[in-house]
Amino acid sequence: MINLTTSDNETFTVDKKVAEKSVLIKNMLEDVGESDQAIPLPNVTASVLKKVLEWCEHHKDDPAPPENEDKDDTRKRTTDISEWDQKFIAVDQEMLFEIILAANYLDIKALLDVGCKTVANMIKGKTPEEIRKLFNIVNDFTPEEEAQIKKENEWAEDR
Amino acid sequence: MAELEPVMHQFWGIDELVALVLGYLERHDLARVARTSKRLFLLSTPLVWARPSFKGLAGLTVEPSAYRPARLFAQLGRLVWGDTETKANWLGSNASSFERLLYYGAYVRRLDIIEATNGRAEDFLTVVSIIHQSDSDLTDVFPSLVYLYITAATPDFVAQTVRFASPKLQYLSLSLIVLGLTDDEPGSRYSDFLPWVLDLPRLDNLQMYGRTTSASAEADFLEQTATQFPGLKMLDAPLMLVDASFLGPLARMKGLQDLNMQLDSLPSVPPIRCDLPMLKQLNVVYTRVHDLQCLLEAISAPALTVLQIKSNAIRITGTAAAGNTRAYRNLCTIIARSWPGLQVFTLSGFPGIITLQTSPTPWVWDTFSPLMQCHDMRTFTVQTPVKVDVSDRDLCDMANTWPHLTDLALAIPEGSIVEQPKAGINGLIYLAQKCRQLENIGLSINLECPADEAPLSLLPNAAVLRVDVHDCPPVNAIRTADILKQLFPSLIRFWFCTRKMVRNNAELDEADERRMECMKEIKARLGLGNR
Repeated sequence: MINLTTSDNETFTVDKKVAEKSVLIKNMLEDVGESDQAIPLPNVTASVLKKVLEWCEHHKDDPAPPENEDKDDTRKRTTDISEWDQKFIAVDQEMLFEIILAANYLDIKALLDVGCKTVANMIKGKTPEEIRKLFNIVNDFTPEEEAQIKKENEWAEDR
Repeated sequence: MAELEPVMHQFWGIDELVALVLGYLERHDLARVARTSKRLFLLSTPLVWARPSFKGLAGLTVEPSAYRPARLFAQLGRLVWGDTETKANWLGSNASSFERLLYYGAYVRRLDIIEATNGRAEDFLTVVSIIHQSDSDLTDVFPSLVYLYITAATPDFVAQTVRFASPKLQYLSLSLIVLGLTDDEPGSRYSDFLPWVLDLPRLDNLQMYGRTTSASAEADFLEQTATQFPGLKMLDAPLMLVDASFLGPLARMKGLQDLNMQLDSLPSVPPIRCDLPMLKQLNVVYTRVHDLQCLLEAISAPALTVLQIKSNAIRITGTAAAGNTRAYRNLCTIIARSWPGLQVFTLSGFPGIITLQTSPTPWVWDTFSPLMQCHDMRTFTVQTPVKVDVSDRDLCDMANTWPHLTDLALAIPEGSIVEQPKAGINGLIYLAQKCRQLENIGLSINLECPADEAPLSLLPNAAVLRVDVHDCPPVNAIRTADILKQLFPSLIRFWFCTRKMVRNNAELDEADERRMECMKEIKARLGLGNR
């Protein structure tokens, strides 16, 4: 078993196989060897780590993702998310972004993908104003700038 | 106390993560994201403009009133990255429409240049004209261009596009659509393109869409193209009627990976051997089996893993079917001997059979059984209107021989019903237990499971998503649905044949109605009633 300590000083004891879904933790264990000392995770709070570990537990037996993915950036990737992951990631926006940041920090690619796909799915089909409102994005264009960009991107907005 | 304004999450300030999200969006959504804020404009624009239409590029060349964005955005890039608080007056610079083209053109990685069959390509010509007037080189305007796809109907148009083909290209696809050839005048028109084609710096994909032309008529074009571009990766000539004269140029295409062709008349003995060491996929349409046999014997392609055959034959009944069966067994023996590493085998075609007076004859499994020598088979589909009749024993053999199967289709839902299925539930279960990557199953099968038998203990196969049972007769719907649920927990489709018997017989029609009612009930019990 492995002990993990969060930024708010809570300690989680988890199965090594579950913890090693994180490449960061896996590498740390390989570098320093196993010990009774807890691994500090200063960038993750207890509430977020609890969610992340729930995901790791569910996916602990998944095969490792392929190393070399298609690098053709002219082809879009699918935003399909499995049913379990959809339920898992149905959280408030603050928690969603915290999970993404944690997955990035802990280097859990599959979880990072689930988070980013969820954000992408939230954006799909929305107008610029709706996107701004949803994510509290400040419009720093002048009306003239916005009108010009709209005109120049009009062709791309056709489906 | 004043309410706190909701603030943007810090996630949006981490470019590498925002870029991941943007990577999942289609262009129309990216274009809307680009309009939300300056930072998101800068992150989205390279993706929006990676593959623009010429309509979009030509739109940039229309002079705006007073607002000049090219210099503006060049400044914007520096300002946003350097200091998000900095304000500046971005208006009033004198950037020309050409500078705007330069700004967005820097992000272009792929261009699709298309000459419509009516000869119109105004947007393309507008852009070419603007660049020409600027005295700039195309590589200055599109410095990141690496993928070029040209579709042309006239040599003059190809002449215009050749200037886009810089030596920096990583991929060049050329589609030639030659119109106006008729059966009375099946001459060559491709040769008119030759001077321009030979001038290209590279050629990866050549598509020839001229109707009624023949390999013989195109021999010179093919010969010279094959000599100039031995690295050609894909040749797609689905409308050309290939004869023996095609084999000479084909033998020169040593880099060919993907070949799509239609056979005309070939001799009984191949006149030449084509060594194609890189060929991975062969798609061929044929009418006479012996032409297909000649081609397969002519090609030596040790890397071939995908073989897709489509028949143009219109009848397969009675004695013709028996002859076809023998011919196909022979073909399958050749295929198995030549390509033991084959992973995909598909056979389709044979249209119109349902309207014939005589009953269609099912294929027998023995016809295809030589292909069991190909142990790495992933996809095996025979999509004809007539099923391939298999037994439980055959299914067990397939499961043991082809453990990596993902797709198995030996009957299609649109096919006609001609005989009772031989395979039963035990064969299906065995297949599901052995082939753990199986996703799609299409079989002529009887799903009946005797009610007095003890409940089966089944290892679920969650990979299976679609099961098509073709002509399964009426069975115990409750028990069958229970077994299917256990066996295939991820099922999203359950299809069955919805056509009636071929024979016009009231008794058989009634039986067929019962069959369809039963299948509908199973489908509903699987929770797939509306799919």
